[in-house]
Amino acid sequence: MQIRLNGAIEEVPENATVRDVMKGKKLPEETAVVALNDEVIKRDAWQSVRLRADDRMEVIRIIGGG
Amino acid sequence: MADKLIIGGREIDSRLFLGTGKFADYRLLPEVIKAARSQVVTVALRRVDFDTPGENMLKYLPEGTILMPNTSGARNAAEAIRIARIAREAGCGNWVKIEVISDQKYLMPDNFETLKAIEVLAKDGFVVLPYMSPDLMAAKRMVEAGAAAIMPLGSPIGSNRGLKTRELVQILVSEIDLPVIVDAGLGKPSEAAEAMELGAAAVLVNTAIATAENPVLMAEAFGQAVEAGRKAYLAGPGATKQTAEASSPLTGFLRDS
Repeated sequence: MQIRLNGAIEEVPENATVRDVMKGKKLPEETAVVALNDEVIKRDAWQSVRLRADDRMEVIRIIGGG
Repeated sequence: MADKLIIGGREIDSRLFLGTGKFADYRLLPEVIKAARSQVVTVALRRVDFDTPGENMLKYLPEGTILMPNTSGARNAAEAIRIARIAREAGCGNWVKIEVISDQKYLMPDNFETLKAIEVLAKDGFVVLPYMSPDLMAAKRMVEAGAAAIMPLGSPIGSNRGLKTRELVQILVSEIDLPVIVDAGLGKPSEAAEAMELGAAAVLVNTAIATAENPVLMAEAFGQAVEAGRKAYLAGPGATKQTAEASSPLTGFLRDS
């Protein structure tokens, strides 16, 4: 099924969890904040939140800024 | 009586707020923050680039730092509100610098959209510090809408051109009861001191420190300038005159008449 990941269309398996998508990206976990449809999903919930078609997932980090 | 800076009900130890953008290396941050003695530090939120994910810069910020995530990237109130809420849920605390910009040439803030964002975020329990263009009526409306301070620009972001908006900032200092924090464009410690001398409650500095040859030394200089400027303001500077007035009496000179 398709979701939007950081604005781009991404193909993910049906019933994929947030954790599945994050593992697939090989990111160091401490870097990222995940928001699903504008709601932040805490790290310990990644494996229990299942994605649905057309979900908007944002993987965000905090950077320097003024 | 102690001279305290209180924002959102919290006592802030330093009147130099520090931006963390443009540093060559995040590893400089702990020393820079220590040299500046800053307590409030701004950060930004961006999408992770999966090819070059980068590191978590929060680990470089000392304990006791008050995070002020900005809403940079927001072009309107809705985008600013969204970023603020994500930042809070991500553990950045409830302070937010509202930055709404759709002008890419001068990065001038949009006072109208900023006002709308304050109305929503203040009701939602945020401590809201709006970055704004120094217009008195806009500032008054922002205060009514629930802002915790007002942050007028000194000159365009990253321009290092100093307090070009001096006259307008002076009016804000005179007429707005909340802390007025000059944010953007201060390029030298003397310019930060100038802002403090005219009564600004604090200043926010980023580019001038981050892009200095020696950021740690520049941070220290800015810290000292902000303290000096504040003391000068509290000390009550003497009057200025067009003509001279001698320092010692004009009598008793050691000379023939």
